[in-house]
Parts: sequence; C-alpha cells; structure tokens
Amino acid sequence: MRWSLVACLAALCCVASAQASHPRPKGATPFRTSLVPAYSQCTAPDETHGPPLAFPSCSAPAQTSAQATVGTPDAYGGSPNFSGYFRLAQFGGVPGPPDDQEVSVELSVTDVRCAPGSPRCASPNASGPADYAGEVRIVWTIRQSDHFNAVAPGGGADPATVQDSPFEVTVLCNETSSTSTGSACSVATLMNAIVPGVTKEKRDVHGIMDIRVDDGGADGDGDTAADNTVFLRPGVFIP
Amino acid sequence: MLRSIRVVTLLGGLAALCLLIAGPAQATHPRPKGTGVYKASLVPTYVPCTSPNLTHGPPLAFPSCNPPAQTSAEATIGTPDANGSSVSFNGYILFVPCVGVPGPPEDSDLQVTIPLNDIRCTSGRCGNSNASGPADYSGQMRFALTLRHTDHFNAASPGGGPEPATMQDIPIEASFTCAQTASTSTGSTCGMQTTLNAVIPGSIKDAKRAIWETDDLRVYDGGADGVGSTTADNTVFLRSGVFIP
Repeated sequence: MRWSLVACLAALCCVASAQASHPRPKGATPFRTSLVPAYSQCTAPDETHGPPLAFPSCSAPAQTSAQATVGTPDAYGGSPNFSGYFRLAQFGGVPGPPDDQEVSVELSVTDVRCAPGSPRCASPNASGPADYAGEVRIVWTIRQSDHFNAVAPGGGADPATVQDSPFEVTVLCNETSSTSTGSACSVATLMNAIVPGVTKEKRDVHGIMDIRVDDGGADGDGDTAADNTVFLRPGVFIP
Repeated sequence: MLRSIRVVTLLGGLAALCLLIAGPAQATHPRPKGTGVYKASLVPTYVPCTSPNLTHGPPLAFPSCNPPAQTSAEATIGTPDANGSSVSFNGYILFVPCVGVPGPPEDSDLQVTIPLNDIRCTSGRCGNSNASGPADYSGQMRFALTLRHTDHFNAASPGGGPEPATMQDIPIEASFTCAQTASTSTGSTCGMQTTLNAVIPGSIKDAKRAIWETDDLRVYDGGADGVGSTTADNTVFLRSGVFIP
C-alpha cells in the first residue's frame, strides 16, 4: 500500500515535469523581410537631418559592403533595378511519424553590381558598375525553444531553450546577359535540405534575430567569412 | 583666334564651377527600385540560454536550458501544457511603404499594422478571467525598433536640405492598447493600425529616397504599471520568428 502511494506520487511528479512546457503560438508564418543596402553607422556627424527627425547625420553615406552595390543613377550610375527579400515559411507536417515539418528558405536579390574598387567585377553594363561576380551569404541567429532536449546527448522530450546559434546559407550570384541590370542572387530551398533533420515536430518556437546578407569578400567566397562585409539588411525604402 | 580661346576658357571655367556645385548633390546613396511588404510573424521571446543543463537533439546538438523562461514578466499566451489554455495566439508586424506623388502635398507614408490575439497575464496585469489558464492581459504593449535612416533631407544647418546622409541610429517606438475579450476561452486582443506620419507627423516625405534599415523588431509588455510609454519596467514579450508545430 505504502509503495503504491510512493509510485503514484512519482508518477505525478513525472507528469508534472513533462508538463513544464513553453507557451507557443497557434501558428507563426511566414516571415518575410524586404532588404535594403546597409550603411555604416553615423558616429561623427557633420550635418543635421530635417525635422521632425532632426537628429545629427553623417554626409556621404557609406555602404558597409566593400564588394557589392546596386544600380542607382545619381550614385555610381545604372538604372535602379535592385529589389530583395528574405522569406521563411513553415508548412506541412501531419502529427506523428514521419517527421514531415518543413521550413522553406527563400532569398531573392536582383541588380547586384560590384562596388567601386572591388575586384569582384564581371560582365560590364551600359552604365554604372559591372555585374557582381561572387557569392553572397544570408546569415541569421536562431533562438530555439522546443521539446527535443535531454540531459544526455541524442535528444529527448524535455522543453528547453537552446543557446543562440547562427544559421548561414551561401548563395551563388549569376551574371545577367542584360547590360542594364546587375547579377541575380537567389535561392529557394528547405531548412532540411541545408541541415538534414533540423525541423521536427517538437513545438519549435524559432526566434529569428540579426538578419543580414554579407557579400563574398575579396575572394567572392561566401564560406570564407573573415573578409565578408555586410551588404544588405532588413528594411524598407520610401522613394 | 585669341577670342575663341578666351570663350572656350570661360565656358570651361563655368562648366567646372557647375560641376563643383553639382558635385555634392550627386554624391548620393545607392538605393532599391522599391521594397515590397515587410511582414514579420511574431513568437514569444525566451531568455537566452547562458547556463545550460541539457543538450538539444541532433543535428542542432547545442547546449540548452531547462526550463524555457519567457522574457516578459507580465504577458503570455495560451498553451495547454504550459498554462492550461487552448492555443490561439497569432501575431505579426506588417510594414507597407506608400509611395506618394512627388510634390505637395506630402503623401508618402509607411503603414504599420500589428494584430495580436489571446494575450494573457502572468502577474499583476490581470483582467477578465478565463475558463482555463491565465486571465486576459490588462495593459498596453509597445512596439520598438532601432532605425538607421539614409536619405536626402540633411544640411549643415538645422532645418533640412537636399544633402544625402545617414542619420544617427534612433529608436522608433509606439504604444498600443489591449482590449479584454468577453470570451472565457481567449485572452486580450492587442493591436495598432496606423502610419508613421500619424505617429511622428512629417517623418515620411516625398522623394527623399529614404532607406529605413531596421534591427530586430520587438513588442514589449507595459511593465508592472501596464503603461507602454513608461519603458523602465517594460520587458520584451514578442520577437520575429516562425513556429514549427
């Protein structure tokens, strides 16, 4: 009788532990951010912005990328044909085996040209810089809270928040035959194609932070990250 | 012949002067053709894992922290195995640029839409109770981002001018209200549908080629006082993300 009581209490404790879960949405998808050229932070202002945002500003805006730019008639020349976005979307997934949850990953960037002084120049254009020859690298940080953790390696059923980790995808840019637009850099893939087995039916609250698109650096190689510089960031453009 | 040379020299000098005057105005910034909508789905924010006591399963076999802890001290959402409520939360932040016609009146703008539902309390900001799980949240929320703004509306002296420049990073924030629901199965509904020019009149102008770089979008709770504009006690409630069931 006494042992039965202990067993019942133990069972209740186990149930309680499994129920110490994490609040989560009914759904959260898609995530789509438009992209804009990234500029250096203004730290030594020499001008003032007009009201109502009358804050100090830095003249001669400087792109952070040393390798890539976009067509703009009154900057380096070329028609303004750049547009870009980054999109993540969860889909599918019938509860139970097999694990068929999936997240699509899309990056689309057009009219990418080589920055003045960059060695990454390919097909020339009728006006403005030549097509960019190299890769870009989309980088974001994930903070994942889910039910696929355990004390021992291998995974389990415990809820936990995983240490922040970067997620990176290198994308090849293709030169265009057009002489009025720069290279196109795009990818449409799945998270499970990038890291097999990464999306599972584990109630994954998948926080996304610090999104950026880097150029490929002087060597044009997105995977050799040391010389990469930030080319694009999330944002909007109001003409 | 000498007269021709003088005329050419004079014209050359004038051309050089024009180029000098035109130079600064042409030293401008590369920009997009346009940007479409920016829609960030929102998820609850969790405290970063700094003292791990578990390991995540492969392939992301990184250290992890149990139990997961929300960063918000005031607000949560319904989840059966966390707080006994049904799952209903959906939320996002939507930016839509509105391109105006150049010239007066200034009619460019940026639409901002934030709908949130099933917001519940975790501590003092509790309103209508629910049949199960926490009560409706009774406070405000606050949307926040850090803006890096590059455009053609700068000058050496205050008042604005045609010079291109990147402004010092500034925070853009706006509070919005939550309405408790009569339903006993869902939490409060919070949201805003506005434009930047309604929040900061005159902040978006025509033909200034404004690039708005944003960092991570955040939604804060209203803190212990429930007031979004008193930011000292606000804590982060939601951030961008996706949910994989």
